[in-house]
Amino acid sequence: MERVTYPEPAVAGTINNSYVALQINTKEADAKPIVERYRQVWTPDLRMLDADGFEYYRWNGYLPPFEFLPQLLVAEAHARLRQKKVQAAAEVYNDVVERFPTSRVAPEAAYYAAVANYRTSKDSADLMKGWEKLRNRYPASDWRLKQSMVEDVE
Amino acid sequence: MIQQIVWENDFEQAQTRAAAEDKLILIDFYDPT
Repeated sequence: MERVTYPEPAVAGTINNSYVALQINTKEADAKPIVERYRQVWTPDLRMLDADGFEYYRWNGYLPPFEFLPQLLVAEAHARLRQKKVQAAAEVYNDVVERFPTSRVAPEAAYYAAVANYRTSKDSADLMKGWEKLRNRYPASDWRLKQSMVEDVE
Repeated sequence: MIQQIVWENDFEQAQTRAAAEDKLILIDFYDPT
């Protein structure tokens, strides 16, 4: 992460713009309270919290820069969606789908882009349209399966 | 100028900044060994 992912300017810029970034060396004695608070067991371990310390998203494991970046954006969008900032969430999900369409998290972003667009417009056609786009772009993805109940009634 | 990540190393300081700047907190738990 230190050698490859974090030095990438697009990664650093996104982190600085959207997050207050905190590094915790899990081997230091001082880290024990926060390691125990967040039940931390394996590194790399990334957590996205609000200012109160409430955890919205997490993942384990190394990601190269142009997988890390869309993952980071999806994490931000999930946090905004759960904070009921649906329009802000929709913008970030849509950004991931447009800028990182071949990334590992793009199908997840497409699934939730439809959800956030629907929650913004209150028009169920936006949900159906977004999920149709998901099926067309990512027909073999897990996220296609998660909307497949609507395919049975179409 | 190439942008570098501004890392905090104190959780309470990070919480104070996140509240003031309306940002989320990103924690990177790492093992230097």
